[in-house]
Amino acid sequence: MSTEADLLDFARGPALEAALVILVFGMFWRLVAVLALRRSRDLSEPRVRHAWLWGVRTIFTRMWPRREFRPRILHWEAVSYLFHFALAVVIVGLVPHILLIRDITGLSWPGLPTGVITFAAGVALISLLALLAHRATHPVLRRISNFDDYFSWLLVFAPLLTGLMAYYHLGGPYEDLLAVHMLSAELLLAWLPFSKLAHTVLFLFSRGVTGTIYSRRGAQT
Amino acid sequence: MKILDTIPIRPAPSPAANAPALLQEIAAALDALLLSRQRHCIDLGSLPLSPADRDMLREALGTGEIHMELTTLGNSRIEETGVPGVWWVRHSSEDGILLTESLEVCHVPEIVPADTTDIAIGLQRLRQRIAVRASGGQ
Amino acid sequence: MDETILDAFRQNGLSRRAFLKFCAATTSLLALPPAAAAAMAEKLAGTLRPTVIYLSYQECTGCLESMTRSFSPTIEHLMFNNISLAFNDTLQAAAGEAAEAARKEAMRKAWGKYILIVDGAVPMGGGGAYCVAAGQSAVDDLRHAAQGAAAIIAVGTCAAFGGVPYAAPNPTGAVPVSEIIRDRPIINVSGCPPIPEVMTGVIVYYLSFGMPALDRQGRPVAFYGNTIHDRCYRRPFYDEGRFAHTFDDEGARNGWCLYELGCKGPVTYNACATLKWNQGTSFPIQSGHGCLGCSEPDFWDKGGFYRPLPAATGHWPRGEVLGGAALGGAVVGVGAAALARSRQQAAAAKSAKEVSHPPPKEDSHEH
Ligand code: SF4
Ligand code: SF4
Repeated sequence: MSTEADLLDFARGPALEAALVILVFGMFWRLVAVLALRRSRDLSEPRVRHAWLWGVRTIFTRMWPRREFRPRILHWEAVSYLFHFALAVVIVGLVPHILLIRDITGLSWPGLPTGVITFAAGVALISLLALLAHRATHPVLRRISNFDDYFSWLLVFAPLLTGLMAYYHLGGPYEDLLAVHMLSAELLLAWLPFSKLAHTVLFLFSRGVTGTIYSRRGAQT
Repeated sequence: MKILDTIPIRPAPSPAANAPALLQEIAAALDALLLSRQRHCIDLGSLPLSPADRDMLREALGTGEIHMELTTLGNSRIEETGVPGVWWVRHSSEDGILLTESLEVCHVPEIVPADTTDIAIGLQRLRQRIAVRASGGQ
Repeated sequence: MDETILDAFRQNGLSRRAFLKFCAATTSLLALPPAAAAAMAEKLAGTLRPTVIYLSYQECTGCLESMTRSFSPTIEHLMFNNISLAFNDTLQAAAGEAAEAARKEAMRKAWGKYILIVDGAVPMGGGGAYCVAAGQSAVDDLRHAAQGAAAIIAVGTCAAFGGVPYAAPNPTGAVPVSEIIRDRPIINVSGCPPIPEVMTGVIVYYLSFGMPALDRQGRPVAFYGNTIHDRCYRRPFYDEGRFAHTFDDEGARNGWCLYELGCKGPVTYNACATLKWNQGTSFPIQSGHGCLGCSEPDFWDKGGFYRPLPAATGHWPRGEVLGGAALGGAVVGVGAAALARSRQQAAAAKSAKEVSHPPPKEDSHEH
């Protein structure tokens, strides 16, 4: 009967369900579609045995830039790491998030104090803003950025911001902020598989495949 | 009982956080009382007071010369503190539950003097009794 | 009965002192500045004894039970002796025809001025046939009584938001008072039941100062301005991330936060954490049970009392639905890949025609 209560109920009910269905559906679609593509056979003689092992190795080696590139990109790489790490802390450390995950998957783990979470959320927000500024000003990065990049940025930014606002009761009653927070996160989940944000899953495969191909040919990766 | 005793009770952190400000407020209220006969009242229930706060208030205000006990709708204690003009008022209900506790800054709390209508009603009753006595009844 | 409330006190052999004490206690209860006690005393001393009509519809009488256990006989005194409670079918001695007659008479005398307290939802289904007393359906009764009311106090979550009768599937078509009456001021005093002091406090406030400030659910801000969570003494544990996981684990014994056990305190506006229950003895969270959210609309239909707040409300088969989504996604993925493959093949065939020895081509997708 009251709209604001309804909004939270909608966020916790049908919206959540729809977002999860789209997420799982989309992720499987993307993954299977990529994995089932034809790869032409490489007829050259492999330079290393078990090239796939090197592929797995690449997943890790590419986590840090090679020495040659470091002076140019290391600091932005560091900011990006800061962001990813802080975001991960927020997502898997906050007890309400864990409870939601437990509710859906049955998995659970101990949470972190909210002080740590709000700090991490602050770090994530600031680093996101810095990364956006970098994207918008860097001549090359700007050219290769499209709607997907900016919209995805927004959808990651929004839940962080609304989550903090809800925690501190800023800008409205808690239940409304909570509803908006959940809805923004649900939008993110639904958008994720169809955007560059799919890298959360696909990066493993793309790096692995690239690593395997190059190392088979004896190239360093 | 044994098991109940093992449940740790976490006392709230209790530095005297509000008492110093309260004492300032009381001083200002006394000033106003002297200058313009203005009464002031502080509801102690509306403030988070730690035991340390209470101790500090009690100590700074001390005990005064008048202790009154009011017995209507349960007990009330009205005590002047060692600072004349500052009254510590506690109203309790019939079953002894504290309803409200306040510090009143005034010459005499308003609840103390007899009310005109109440006096009139009392007088009426007294006259009736006198009349009954005069007519020879008990 | 041109008596003021102060007169009524005197009638009961009480002095003005008792009256002042009552005002002091009430202002403190209402969290008003102490100066308001004098204003209230002045106002109430001149206020005519109001007529209160208390009507009960689809309810369990829990609200009235709660109200008659107000924290002190002081307030109860006011309610039942000094305020003229002209009609309440549970408390009054008269019954049947006599009771109905007394009520009609009281309403006629105070028409346009009485305070109408309603407790319980009003069933609309079956032409109102689910709740009929003295040949009149609840909905007709309420419509009529509301016309003569100065203000309506909807006591309890049933009257305020529909409550239990309103819960899905709502077989009787129950609705809250505000759905039927739109042209009278309504104060919602929600809770299942409401805290007794809140009910009586609201009445006294209305008599002294008129309509209280209401939140967007029509509840007095003085009592419903904060969530349970904001005033909860277990809040430090919430912030530290210390939670009870079951009702008998170490955390529960240590009095840690009950969030994981389904506490709805963060989205529930009520005064339990400050006023407490049973003469200020305790409140549910202090006794080790999470808040059910009883003062909020639709609290029965929010997924379950023991499901944590962030958990999904729907009871859908998670495994089946998400498994189905995965399968569907995989099928579409295979289809997409097949399409891509056939295009690859076509392209390869085309280039094979152009070049006799096509160089081995690799395709890496993303790097
Ligand atoms: S017990 Fe409930 S109201 Fe209290 S801090 Fe925990 S979640 Fe909040
Ligand atoms: S703690 Fe919550 S459920 Fe319990 S009485 Fe208070 S508002 Fe209602």
